[in-house]
Formats: sequence, C-alpha cells, structure tokens
Amino acid sequence: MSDTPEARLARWAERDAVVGLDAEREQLALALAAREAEVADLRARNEQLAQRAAQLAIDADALRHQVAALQRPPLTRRVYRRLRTLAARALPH
Amino acid sequence: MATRRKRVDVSVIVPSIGTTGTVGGRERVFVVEAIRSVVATGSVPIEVIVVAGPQMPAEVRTALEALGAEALGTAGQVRCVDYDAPFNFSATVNLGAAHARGAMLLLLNDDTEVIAPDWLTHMLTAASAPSDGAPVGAVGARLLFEDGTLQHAGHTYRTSIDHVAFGRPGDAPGRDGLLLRRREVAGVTAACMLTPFDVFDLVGGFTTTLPGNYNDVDYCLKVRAAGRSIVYEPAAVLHHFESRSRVTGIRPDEIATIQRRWLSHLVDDPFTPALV
Repeated sequence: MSDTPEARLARWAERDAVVGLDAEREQLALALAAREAEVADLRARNEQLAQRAAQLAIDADALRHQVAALQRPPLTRRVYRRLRTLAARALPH
Repeated sequence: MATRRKRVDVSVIVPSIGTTGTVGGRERVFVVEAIRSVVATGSVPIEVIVVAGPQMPAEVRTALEALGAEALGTAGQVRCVDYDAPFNFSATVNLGAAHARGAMLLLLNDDTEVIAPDWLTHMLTAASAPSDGAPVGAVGARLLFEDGTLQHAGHTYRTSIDHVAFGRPGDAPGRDGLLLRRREVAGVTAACMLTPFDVFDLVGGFTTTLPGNYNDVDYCLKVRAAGRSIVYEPAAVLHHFESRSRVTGIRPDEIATIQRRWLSHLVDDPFTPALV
C-alpha cells in the first residue's frame, strides 16, 4: 500500500483531532476533579461552620442569662434596700 | 530500468515565500542562504523540501533547485512543493512532511543560517540518546539573533509560554550551566526542530487549528503526551534572523485552543527553574 502525501495528510488530520480531543478530555476531567474537590471542601467547611454556629448559639444563651442577671441587683440586696427605706420613713424625724 | 532514489536520512522542511532581507548590511534571499548553509554542513544524506507559498518568486525557486543540484550532487535533493492555501504554518509543515522520505524530519525557518558546522550531527546524537529513559521525540537548537544574543534555548511553560533566557548573551551559561548542556525541556521552537518521522506520524503532525502561534508548543506537548521527551541541544547553533521586536499577533482563539488542550501543562515547568 503506497503512503501518498494525500493519505499522510488525511491520516494526520484524523490523528491530530483524536489527540486533541483526548487532551481536551483530560483537561476537562482535571477541571471537573478540581471543582468536585472544591465542592467537597466547601461542604465540609459548611458542616464545620454549622456546628460552630450551634455551639456559639448555646454559648450566647448562657452569656445572655449572665448579662440579664447582672443587670438587676441580687434579691437580698433589693429586699435590704426596701426595708431600709421603709424603716427610714417609720422613724420619727 | 528503474532509477534508484538516493538514500535520505534527514528531510529538511523549510516553509518559505522567498522573502528578502538585510543581514550584516547585505541583502539576501533568506531561504537561499539558509539552505546553502544547511547543504554545506549536512553530515548525513539529506533532502530539502521547500514548501513554497504562492508569493515565491520564480527566480528563487530556480536558485534553490540549482543549489541542490550543485551542493548535493543530485537533482531533486532540493525541491519545492507548492502551497497555495491561505497562510497556515502548521499546514505548510505537514505538507512538507507529507513529501518527506527521511526517517528524521528537520523543520527549519527560512530566516536561519547554520553557525556550528557539526550542528546536525549533534542534533541527531541528541535524538538518539534517551533522556531519563524516555525516547526522544524532538530536539531543538541554540538559536542566536544577528547580534549574537539568545533567541532560543528551549521553551519554558510556567504561567506563560516563553523562550528560556531570551535575549541573554549567546554564550551565557545560565544557572549551573544549563544553557550550555544538553537537557530535557518543556518544548522547543519549530524554527529548528528535529523530530523522528514516526513520532510526527504518531501524533498527527502539526495541528492546523493553530495556524500561526503555539503550533510548536502543541506539537511538543503532543509528543510528551505520547511518552517522548523534548531535548535542547546547545551544540547545534544557528542564527535566527527574526526581529527581536517581532509582534507575534497572538489571537484570543489561539490562546483558548492551547489552554483547552494543555492548560494543566502550562502552569508549572518541571524542567527549567524560574530563574535561569
């Protein structure tokens, strides 16, 4: 079988197309793998953030109670002040 | 009686339109002088195939064919193959290779001139010496501008596609002497590239989807994908009279094509350090 210039050119055009498609397919596979890894990473980070947010909400509740408690004087202090006021009024001037 | 054709080891393929220019203050027809220097230094049986564009003057064609008959002693050892389609460098290379008889193809720009007389021997030796076990798929030369500075010492692909040590002194050793020793590189220019015909055939030659730029980059990456290495041979020294300020005119679709095929190979260069 003679390998004419025309036959060579036709064969090379076909092979280049195949090699080019293989190369593009490899690049797309690499891009896909990179995107999938990024998605997995973001999902893992999202999960971590959700857990952290829940923990922080619990912490925040506790702190909120502490803040509220600090805003009013203790019951004993309030009772003492009230009794002192009443006593002061009852005493003759 | 059938005529036996002369044996050919290397087919030299030179796309040209017969451009004239000035070198050293003297006007020349580039392709004639390029081929004159090649046939004067051919250390093995060669043929020269000039892929002649439609603008090639008839007298240049005549001069080339006469040059072959004189220098190689056999009519037909320098011959022209007509290329009359719109410009596509890859297509001209493929057309020349389609007419080649040699086991090795030597792609050569017409604006070159041999400096080192034993250039072809060195390139053939480099082509036959495996680097790191991988058979060699292409060999590039050390190319100098007219002023003696480096035009080419191999390609490097690291976030951009560049020539290693471009514009440095032609005899600069580079880090650890890497500009002056034979070594594996990411790619080499098609301005002077030796490649086995069977490798060219295997990967489908030059892609015509890249008519002007990056076709040699694509070829080298195809060759590497086929398990062959690319080698720079510093002992093969030629002039390349390309203008240092040449505007390449790289088109967005050429960038898109090379990235679509090879992006992951263009972001890091395992062969050449960042600072040479």
